[in-house]
Amino acid sequence: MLELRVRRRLSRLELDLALEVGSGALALAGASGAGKTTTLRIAAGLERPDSGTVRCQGEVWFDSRSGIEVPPERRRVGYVFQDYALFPHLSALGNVAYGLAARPRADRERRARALLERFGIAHLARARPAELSGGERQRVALARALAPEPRALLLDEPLSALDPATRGAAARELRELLETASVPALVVTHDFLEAAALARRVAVIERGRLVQEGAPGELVAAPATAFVADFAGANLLHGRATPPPARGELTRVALDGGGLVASTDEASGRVGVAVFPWDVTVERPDAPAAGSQVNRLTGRVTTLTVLGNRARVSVATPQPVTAEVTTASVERLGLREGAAAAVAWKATATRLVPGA
Amino acid sequence: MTRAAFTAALAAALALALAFLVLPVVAIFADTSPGRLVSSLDNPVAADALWLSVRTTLTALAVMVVVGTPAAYLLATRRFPGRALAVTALELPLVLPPAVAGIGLLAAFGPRGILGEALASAGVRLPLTTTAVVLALCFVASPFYVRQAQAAFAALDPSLVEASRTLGASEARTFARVAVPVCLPGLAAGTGLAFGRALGEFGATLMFAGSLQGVSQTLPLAIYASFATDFPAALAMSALLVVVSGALLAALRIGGARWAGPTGAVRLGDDARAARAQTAQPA
Repeated sequence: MLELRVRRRLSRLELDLALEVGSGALALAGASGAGKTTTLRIAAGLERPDSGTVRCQGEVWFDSRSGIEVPPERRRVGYVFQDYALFPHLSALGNVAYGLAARPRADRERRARALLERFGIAHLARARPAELSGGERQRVALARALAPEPRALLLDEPLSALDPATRGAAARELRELLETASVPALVVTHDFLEAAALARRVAVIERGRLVQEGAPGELVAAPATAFVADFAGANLLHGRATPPPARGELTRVALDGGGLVASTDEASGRVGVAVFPWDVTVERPDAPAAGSQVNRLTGRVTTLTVLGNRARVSVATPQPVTAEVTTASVERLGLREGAAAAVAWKATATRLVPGA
Repeated sequence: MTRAAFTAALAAALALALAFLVLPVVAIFADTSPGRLVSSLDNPVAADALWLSVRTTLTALAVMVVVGTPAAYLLATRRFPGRALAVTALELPLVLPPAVAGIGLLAAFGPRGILGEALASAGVRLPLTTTAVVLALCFVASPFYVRQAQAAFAALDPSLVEASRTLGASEARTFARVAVPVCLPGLAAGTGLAFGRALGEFGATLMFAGSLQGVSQTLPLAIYASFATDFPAALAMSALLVVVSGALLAALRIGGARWAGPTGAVRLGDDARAARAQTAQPA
């Protein structure tokens, strides 16, 4: 358990945050400048809060009242920097072994090699960072962070330095890694889909304050603020994709729990189906399929959250699909929790993203 | 002015600069055959001066690197009151005329200087000794090193330092294992500049340490001493100095390139960080 309860005056806002990260990853999401990276740096000891406490697995790392401040080198966190911060003068192996200085030499090299092996980059052990691709560098950074068996993992936008082509595979690997690592992991991201892909729980901060924390689906279905509504843009459904049988046809995705949807994206195997609430229309369940929406699922309304003149309607299909509609539509369709409804959207508005 | 005319003007300026700067060096060798260069080492004055120059310069460089590197790191990485003043004070010797430097050293460490009595009671007598030469060299040359080292450390990506800390390294270990190695090309460049300045140092040494053969008569002083009486010997010693400096410059260049490695001439967009770390310092 990593616990932060901190205040810190920043130039443009005041960070005032209480976070608890259990084992399993928590994504810390928000717009740029919301204080995400500062929070991560405070957890690592690279920055000092004005007041508050930081605790990890029963150990006090910072306490402004009793004047405790454990320096970063004694916290044993695995920190992955946004642009990885690999040591340019050391090989991949040297980078990974760097944090193992306290161990006997043979042990150090064995563990570093084992980690490179695990990340599939053993053949790059002697390469310098400048010779590595973005994806390879990310793996070295992860291996380096994991080498000293950290008590917490802190990752700052771990996918943002990657090109879109490698991001998908990297996201999948990283999610697996975070789920199997038995330490608390805090992942900073400004991208909701990335947050949803990497962590089971997402904490959204807005100008230094925690505004909502929950599973990605909960944030989409019932956003606490307008910011969360805009930020937690996409529904993320899970399923198995079958690639288009011929040119010009669509990818079909059999959703877990039932339901079939189509997408213009190409994919096969396990995928996440992302669709934005404002692309989803809500209809009466018995309404005839009209218009160009290929994807149509029915179910019962589970939540209905009104935000000013718009409302988020979540329908269990059985995976929850949230639509954003006007409050006028809610009245016209007689929507309420428990009522039957259909949600529909176009195959062109259906993004397939790598996901478990 | 047309483009061709402008290019011609630039080329003319470069040609003039090259001719002016190269001609004196060439002239030294025009009158000094390699055989004469070697035999000049038989001249005890020249041999003593060369040996003394090498010894004092290397000693002074060692002192500068050992003291200057951590000092430069502090100046580059911490903000503290009086920092700007400290930087200015360290750079002052750059603009001081060597004669002023010599007088200053005498006034500080000479028998009647501020520290003269303390030194005398400790049994230390500096003027007219080899130690005085080293002090004079440190005084005039260390600002070159410290300045360059400070610039190199300032260009060091702070996240490398932070990464090292999160990986369990103390600040001291981070300095030794990350900051210094990553900044080595810049530190080497600073060492080269300081070496050049120290090897050629004349005025402050003459005033503070004198010009005693084998004790404080470095190569530049020996050249000066013999040029009125034995011009060919002065020429031979000058050629010796050119060879030594040139060899050093080449060694630093090659060493710097080797350190930066095949990846040193970094693909800029590809790895802006490594590029910044390795090209920010003029090597």
